[in-house]
Amino acid sequence: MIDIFNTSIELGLLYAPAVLGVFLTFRILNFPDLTVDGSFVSGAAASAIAIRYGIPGIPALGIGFIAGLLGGCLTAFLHTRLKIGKILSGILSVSMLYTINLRLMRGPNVSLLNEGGIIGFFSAPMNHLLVIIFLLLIVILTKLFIDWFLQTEFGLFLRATGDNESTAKSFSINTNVTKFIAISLSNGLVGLSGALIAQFQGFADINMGVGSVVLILAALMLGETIIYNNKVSTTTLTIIVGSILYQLIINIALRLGLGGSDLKFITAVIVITALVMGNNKKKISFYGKKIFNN
Amino acid sequence: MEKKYLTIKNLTKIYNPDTPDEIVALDDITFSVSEGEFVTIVGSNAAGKSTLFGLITGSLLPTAGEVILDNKSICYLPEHKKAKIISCVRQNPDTSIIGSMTIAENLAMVKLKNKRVSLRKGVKSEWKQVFATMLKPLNLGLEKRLDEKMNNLSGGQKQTVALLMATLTQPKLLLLDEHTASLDPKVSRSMLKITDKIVHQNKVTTLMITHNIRHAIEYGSRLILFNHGKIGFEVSGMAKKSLKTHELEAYFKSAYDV
Repeated sequence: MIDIFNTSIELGLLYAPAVLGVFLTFRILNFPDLTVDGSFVSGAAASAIAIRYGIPGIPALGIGFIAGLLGGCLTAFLHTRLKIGKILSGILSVSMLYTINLRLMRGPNVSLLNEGGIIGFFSAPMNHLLVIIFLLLIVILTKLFIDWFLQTEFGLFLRATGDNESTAKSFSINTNVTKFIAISLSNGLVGLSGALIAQFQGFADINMGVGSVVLILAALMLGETIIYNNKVSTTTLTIIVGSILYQLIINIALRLGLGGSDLKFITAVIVITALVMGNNKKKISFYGKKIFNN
Repeated sequence: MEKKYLTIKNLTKIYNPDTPDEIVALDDITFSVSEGEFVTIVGSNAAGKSTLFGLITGSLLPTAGEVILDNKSICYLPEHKKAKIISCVRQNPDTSIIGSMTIAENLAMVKLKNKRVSLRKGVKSEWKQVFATMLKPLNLGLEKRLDEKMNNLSGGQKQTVALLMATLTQPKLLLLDEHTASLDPKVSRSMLKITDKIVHQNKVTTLMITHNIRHAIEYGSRLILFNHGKIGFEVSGMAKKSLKTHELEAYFKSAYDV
């Protein structure tokens, strides 16, 4: 049982930066960004390749972040400059990133066995406590960054853009710029998660991003059902917990005998449940007001 | 001759040109407004009033003609740049404020309008004091609710804050598009009093669209009546003051009961 908790906390924290990133686009910017499936792999691939070239683990995480960020730039460019719709921009980006990622890895996967990376710090037998503390550090820093970012001048403009774009324009906000930066940053965080997972699993694979949008959304929505609060800092905290909770549910489901192939269905069911519950909550005032997607 | 601040020159807007659905919304309109003038605009539906505002704010592009503000042609400036010099308050307060953000955050964004955006704290603590002293004279108790979401305010309160926000940055031009239409008569009256006060205090050039003929006569120094995309009637100064509601109504009747 203990190892279920350890694995869930670890995986939850590994995915947490991505969940925080998706929170920026889906919730703050009100932009359903599907790029995630591609930028997640870009982050993993870039960081794996960096390690292959002898770059140490932590700088390689930064490279993963930048790779994800560039993936986000692609979507943002398609949407803000070429005026392609929100969903379609993401889908087109994922398609293009698939090719780019394959080129980057020069094949469908890159193995990192015996190549070091972050996992090298915690060499076998793996010290779970140390791993969790390390991941917690990254995740808390990311959370604090987002809390701070959304309170800055630029953060105000970003939130205004997400709430009501035409009013934001009347505040002389260049909504193309706010969208561009938010989408890039969000995918950078997704890339960071990809890089973390590649280094912990010891490989990057072209298919590791498939369905990650749904997985991350499930974690985000689970987190939001814990507490409804007006404060951004509370929400960012609860979605980290949501990310862990999601992994816990999945790991328990696996333990109960469900196969790995059943998980995508379960994940989608979690998202659907959260969506339906969210719809009902608007009618039931007991839970208080929900601010982000009213 | 007095310097003309805002000049509308041969402005024409045709929707769906060269099709059977062609509609001439504005037909070769020319007029100018002096600095600090408060002009009320009346006219029935489809007279071209809102099209005129759309062309000035930049949400629409003209078919012909131009809009000159402070010696610069502004028709083709992008909307977010125009927003720096032109403020607009519309009928629905939700189009001028961000509901999910607090009063202080909304006011702060307006204060940031003409500055380069940075990553400094959005709502500076010293600003809150400034916002509170601005809100206090409105007697709505909003100075104590700076950290509350705009969505918690009533329609009238939202609209008052919207008006305050519109004039906070000293715009070159203030556009009021039926901004009291969705409020009840009492709130609507006090809203107009506040409007008049703010407009005079800031000496801001203002165009106000209204459907209320009495308000159009009572407020502002000049009245323009739009009729089928043309200026049907114009009156200012003493003549406007002595204008009677029924005279204007009679004009409306003669224009539309053809």
